[in-house]
Amino acid sequence: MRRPELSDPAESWRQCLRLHGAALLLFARQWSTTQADAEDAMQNGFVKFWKTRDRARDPLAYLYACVRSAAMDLGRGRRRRSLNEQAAARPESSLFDPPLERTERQALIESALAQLPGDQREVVVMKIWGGLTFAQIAATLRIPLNTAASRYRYALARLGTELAEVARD
Amino acid sequence: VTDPLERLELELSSLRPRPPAAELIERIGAAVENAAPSPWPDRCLAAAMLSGALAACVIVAMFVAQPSVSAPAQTAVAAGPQSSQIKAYSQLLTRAGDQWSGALK
Repeated sequence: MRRPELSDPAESWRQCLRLHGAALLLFARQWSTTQADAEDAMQNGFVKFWKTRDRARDPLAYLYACVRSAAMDLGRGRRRRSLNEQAAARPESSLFDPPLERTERQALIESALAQLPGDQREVVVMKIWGGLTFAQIAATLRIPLNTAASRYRYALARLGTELAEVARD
Repeated sequence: VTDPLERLELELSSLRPRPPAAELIERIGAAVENAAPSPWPDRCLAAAMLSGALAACVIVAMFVAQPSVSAPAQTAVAAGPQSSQIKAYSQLLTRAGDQWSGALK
């Protein structure tokens, strides 16, 4: 399991961002209206994490919790959560690399992902791209481990159904 | 991998989220370095607070110990009634002396 470096060399924040930056930005994007908001949320969350990381029992879960809380705070200041979810469902640019070679299948996956309820989508992002365990996801979201696991299973089933329907059409 | 959900999982994993722009990383770096906790000033502050607390304890202890030093004052206050009693006795004795001297005459 990849974990942020918590020893304190000057470059460690950079290494931490190199390891987790892409998934964190995608995670922040789930709760932000625009990519710029997601970047602000990631910045605020990461800085908060970095200042207080010594108190974290599980640094990776704490990092995600900080970014989530920052994204929520930003979102609360601008729009309601439901509006954010709607906006997250219409990404202005590709969430994945490489955007220039975005395949039709990739676009379908992005679209299906955007249709998921926010609480399921964030679990998928943390599990698939963040590499968090269900225990870490549960700690991040302060939910029971079984709830985290079942949200993930529901999300995958829903994504599978969605993609299968599109493929049939 | 036969389970369609596992296949989907693998397919999702193969997608790479877009990494943060270099500009964002620099921005975060600047914010992190500005906000980095500096342990030495904190330790100095803690040491200063500790010595202040110790000094306060010493002062309080000195105040607490002071009543035993001022015990003679209390004795002096306590001597007040004694001296008035002595005065009363001597007045009684004087009066008694007058009575005795009258009786003897």
